[in-house]
Amino acid sequence: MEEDGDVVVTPGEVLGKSSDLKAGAGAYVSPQDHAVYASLTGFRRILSPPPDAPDQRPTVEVTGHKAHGPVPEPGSIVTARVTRVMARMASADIMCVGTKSVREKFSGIIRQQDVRATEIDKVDMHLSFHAGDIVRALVVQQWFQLVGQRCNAHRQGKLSKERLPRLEDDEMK
Amino acid sequence: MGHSNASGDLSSEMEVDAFRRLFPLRFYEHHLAESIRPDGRALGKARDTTIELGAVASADGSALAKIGLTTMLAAIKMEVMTPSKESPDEGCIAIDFHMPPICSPLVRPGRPAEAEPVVSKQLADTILRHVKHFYGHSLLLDYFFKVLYSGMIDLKDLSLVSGKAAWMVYLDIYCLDADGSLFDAALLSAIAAFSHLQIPVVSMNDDGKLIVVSEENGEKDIVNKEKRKLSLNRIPFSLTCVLHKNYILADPTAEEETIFETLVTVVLDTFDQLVYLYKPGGLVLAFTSSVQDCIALTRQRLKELQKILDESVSGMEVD
Amino acid sequence: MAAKAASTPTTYSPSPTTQKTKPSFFKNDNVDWVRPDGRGFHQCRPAFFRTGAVNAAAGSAYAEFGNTKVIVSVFGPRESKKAMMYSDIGRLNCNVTFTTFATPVRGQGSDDKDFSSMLHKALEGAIMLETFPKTTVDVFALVLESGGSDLPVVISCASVALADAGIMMYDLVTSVSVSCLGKNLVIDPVLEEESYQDGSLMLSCMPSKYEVTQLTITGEWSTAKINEGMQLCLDACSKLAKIMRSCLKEAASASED
Repeated sequence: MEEDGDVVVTPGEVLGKSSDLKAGAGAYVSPQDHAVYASLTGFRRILSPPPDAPDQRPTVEVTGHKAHGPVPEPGSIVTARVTRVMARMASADIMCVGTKSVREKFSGIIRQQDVRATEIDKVDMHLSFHAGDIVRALVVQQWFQLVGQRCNAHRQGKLSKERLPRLEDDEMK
Repeated sequence: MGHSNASGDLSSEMEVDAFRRLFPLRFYEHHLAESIRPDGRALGKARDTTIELGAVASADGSALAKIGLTTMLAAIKMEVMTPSKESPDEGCIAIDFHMPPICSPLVRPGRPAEAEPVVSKQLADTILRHVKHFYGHSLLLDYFFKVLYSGMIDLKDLSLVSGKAAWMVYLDIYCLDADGSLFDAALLSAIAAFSHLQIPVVSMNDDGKLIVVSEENGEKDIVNKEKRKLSLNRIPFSLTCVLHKNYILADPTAEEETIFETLVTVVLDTFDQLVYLYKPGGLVLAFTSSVQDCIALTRQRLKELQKILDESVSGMEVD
Repeated sequence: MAAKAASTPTTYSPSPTTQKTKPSFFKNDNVDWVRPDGRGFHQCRPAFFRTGAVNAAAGSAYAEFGNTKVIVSVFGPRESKKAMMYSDIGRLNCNVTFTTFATPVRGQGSDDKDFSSMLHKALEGAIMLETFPKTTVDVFALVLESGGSDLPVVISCASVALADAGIMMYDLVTSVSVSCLGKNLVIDPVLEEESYQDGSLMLSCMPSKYEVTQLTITGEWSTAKINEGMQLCLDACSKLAKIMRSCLKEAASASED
């Protein structure tokens, strides 16, 4: 981090020209006037490009103040609490994304075929999950799937060899 | 944080926030064992409380009360009604508690919050208690009941013209920020709005309707020259506590209310009489001793609240 | 409330009802009348904003313009409700309500539904919906006191609340209205002026590039008057934006300490 700016900017403020600056997090380039604008409230920081980068424009980003709470997306590792177990799937409430706790829970679904890599049709959901279990999961698809490995010590044995099950974020229909 | 080991290997890589979210009970129990709450309060201590009178210009009386982050805005509007035949000398009070969607992530437009009717009912029970008159078998008995059981407000004070006109008092309380102990904050704002209330001066026009007149050019027949303020006797104050094992936590936050499901609400009045006690089930069965502890905490809290209210009222008079 | 209403007698407000006839000072040819609050015709009320009014929300703001007082809370991005149709990009959901004591006569708050959809349309273009795919951002407003120009105040306040919630936006949205009273245009009208107006023009824009997100015109307007009214609004919007930005900056700097 090159410049530790204490300059606070708000959405819509001009940060510079796109010919001199690249837009990083919290900034965007307007196609109409080719200027870089802030899209968040926060501190303006200018990052120098690595010396070997082909594009030698520094990057401007707006960080710090207040970003919205974490949202699970495909590829996120989440921690979830199982709420209901059915024959072919289990539903779970996502409580944390990575190490961050969410502001409001997101619901997810763990599908039977995503619990492990082999013999996926032989997975017994009721033996694998109980309501109240805390599981770690990989989000596979937003609105369709995500999922994980159980963290409760007393049931960990059964699943430890299995690959991360997938949890589906949000509902099925 | 020292207690993070409790959840095994998971905790080493978890932020305190996440731990609190996933294992709330464990998180709290570590604190309770040290006799402190996550926000730094002692178990029996209520949060900082403030009252601001006259927050709503368009109302006849209003107050903004804050207990910690919980914020309530109460406003009173006075309208005129024809009293019923049974009680020609009495007005009426309508109390409504609202939780608009702005106040909590749990409230959505078009779906009233669960707490809304509950708190409305509790407020009505507390403020309007016993104002139902005792049709006197004897004058003495009537007097006796009145002294002993009178409510905060005497509905007879709301009469304007016997049998023809009386005040209808609309008290609306809006929760602007919900962080636990909603009833306590709502009651406090309601009481404060009543202390701020200035009854408008009215006079009867040719159609027999009452209209507001200004006091200065008040040569006309003013109906309510003396009754500009309601006299509040026996002001009720409340404290909600949550019970968990042997612990009693006063003035719980929203998080504490969800984790510890057993609530006890106590209302005492300024004559040290018990007005209302509410324990809507919960996992913990309250022993007489813990109920008594809750009452003792409420007694302390009443003194605090009374002082805060007195200060805000006298602050108002200075201005 | 409805249950109780059945048993309660009908009541009326003793406040004198506003006269149906226009007071003489609003009459067409009179150019010298004074506004009810003594302002110049092209002068806005002092505007006050404060962020973080509601802690339970992800972001919030309180705005006060004279007697117009509103609170806006922003929630999310959060799970979209099941009833909602599938959407790839983020969804914006708006709702505006009035307190029962917002208006001089109890419980006569304006048409909430209309305000909700107007708020939605004014903000929609400024929010980067693609940055929160498949989730919903809820913007809820409560008008504590209605003192005139309620909708423009709600819109401006909502954009401050969105910025406070960390929702990515192309720009803030500022909104101002003018009332046409006879030959005169008055900016940022109060309730009384609104009740006598011959026409109203409300403009919401993204102030840094003067991009208009919403323009509504009702009543009698000549083209020249429309141009004049729009120019007045745009000028006022850019001034308002300064106040809104300084409020956000103050909050950001304070949180740093």
